[in-house]
Amino acid sequence: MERCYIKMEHVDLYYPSTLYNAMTIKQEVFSRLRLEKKKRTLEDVHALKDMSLEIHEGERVGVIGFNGAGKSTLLKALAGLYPIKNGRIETKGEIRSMFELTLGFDMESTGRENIMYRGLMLGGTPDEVREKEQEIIDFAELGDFIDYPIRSYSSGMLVRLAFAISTSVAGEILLVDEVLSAGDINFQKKAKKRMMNIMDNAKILVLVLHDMSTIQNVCSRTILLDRGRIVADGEPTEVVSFYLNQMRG
Amino acid sequence: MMEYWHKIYKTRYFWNHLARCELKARFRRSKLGLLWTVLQPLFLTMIMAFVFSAIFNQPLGEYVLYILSGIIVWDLMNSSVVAGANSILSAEQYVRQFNHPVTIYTLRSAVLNIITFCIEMVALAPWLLVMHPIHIILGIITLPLTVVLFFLLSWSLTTLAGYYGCKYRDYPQVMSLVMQALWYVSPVMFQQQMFSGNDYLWWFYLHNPITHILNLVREPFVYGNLPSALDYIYTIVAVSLFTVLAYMANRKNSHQIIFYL
Repeated sequence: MERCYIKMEHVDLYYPSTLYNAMTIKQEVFSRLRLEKKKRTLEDVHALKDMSLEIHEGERVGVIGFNGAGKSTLLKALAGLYPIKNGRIETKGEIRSMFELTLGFDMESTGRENIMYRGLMLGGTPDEVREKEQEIIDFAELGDFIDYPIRSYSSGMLVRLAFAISTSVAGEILLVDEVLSAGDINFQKKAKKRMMNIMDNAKILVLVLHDMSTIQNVCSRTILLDRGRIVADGEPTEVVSFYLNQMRG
Repeated sequence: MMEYWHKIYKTRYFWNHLARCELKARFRRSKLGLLWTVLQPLFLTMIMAFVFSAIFNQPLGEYVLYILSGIIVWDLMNSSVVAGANSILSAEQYVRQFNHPVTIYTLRSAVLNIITFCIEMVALAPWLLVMHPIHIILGIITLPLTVVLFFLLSWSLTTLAGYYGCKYRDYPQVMSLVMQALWYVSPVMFQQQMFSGNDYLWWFYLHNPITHILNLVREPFVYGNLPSALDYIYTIVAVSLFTVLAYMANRKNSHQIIFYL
């Protein structure tokens, strides 16, 4: 038995039109009573189309494609955030997702307090988080600033702190969406190293990235998405060159 | 189902922390902090006592306890229904990133509401000590069950409010009107005799669950009686009804809600 895997079978994912046709209670009542014309309704957006995909333990999968191809949607569906209309998604293993790192900070609290908050948010216990605290502070290079409320931080400091905390917790299945570009050049080097380290420790990695050279360096398999479908799946060098050719053509 | 509860348990540190954080944020820049929660209803009733006795030349007496207990319980329901509409919306950043059960965010608000309720109850103490110190004993005996029932009520109302507050952004406005209307036909501050003049109003008074929910606190603390079986039955029926509604709302919306944020 495999310890970790991801299986998607014929998955259809729609962004429901209710999202754009959002109504107020007033509109809902009035349109039922026919006192107000019903707004013209928009149609559902078909974001993933009949997608089947299997990822097994040990695979490092890069996901590439143009904007709006469904890359982030795919990751969020795998993380279980978005409901799917048809098909099946089966995952085994502890999922860790890294999407928008700076979300969820409490601006009034100090950096130290925020380490605790985010650590708990990521599923740690208070003791576990306290253990990692010093290492996170050192990595984020915040020094004494750690005891200042984070509304006094520069955006670079914030990103560094966010990155340091998020990467302090490992997971078996790692879903990463464009988070390698944190901080200045010096920090980026460090960040990349740390990222590589936790990617190495993950059993499965799914990575969305626009940087083709990193994709080729890190991944053992690459998937090209276009308008909600998988159009190519295979060796990174082949898929990337196919993608780049498509771009030129 | 069991798995769902397990997930809620697993995230306990997180939602506990969210509740604590919000409690702290509420008083972050005030010296008296949490004490305000007690002082506010206490001062309010002191002002009323003064106005009644000095201006209207009427003894306020037991009515102070009546009003205070009414306000405290009403606050709990009102903040569940109206402020609860914000409980999931304000957790948007977490819902977007983590596959935690959505009800932990309404749970956080319910925990906060019930803590506020317990703290506000302290404001009853000075009045009780002066007027009926003996009522405190019965009050404390009945309080644990009351708190459990009120917590469940708050959680289910907050969950309903949380989901519908995301779907319909005017939910808090509409609900605060509804609550205002309910306030006028419920014995929050009005006394029993004000309802007995009109047959319909009297009927509504007797069958209004809010009457009985209020009695759970009022009977022991204000009058020194045990709440009647009828009070418990009405409250439990109301709690169960809202729990079922909240369960259905959760089942229907928990996966879709991310699209409404």
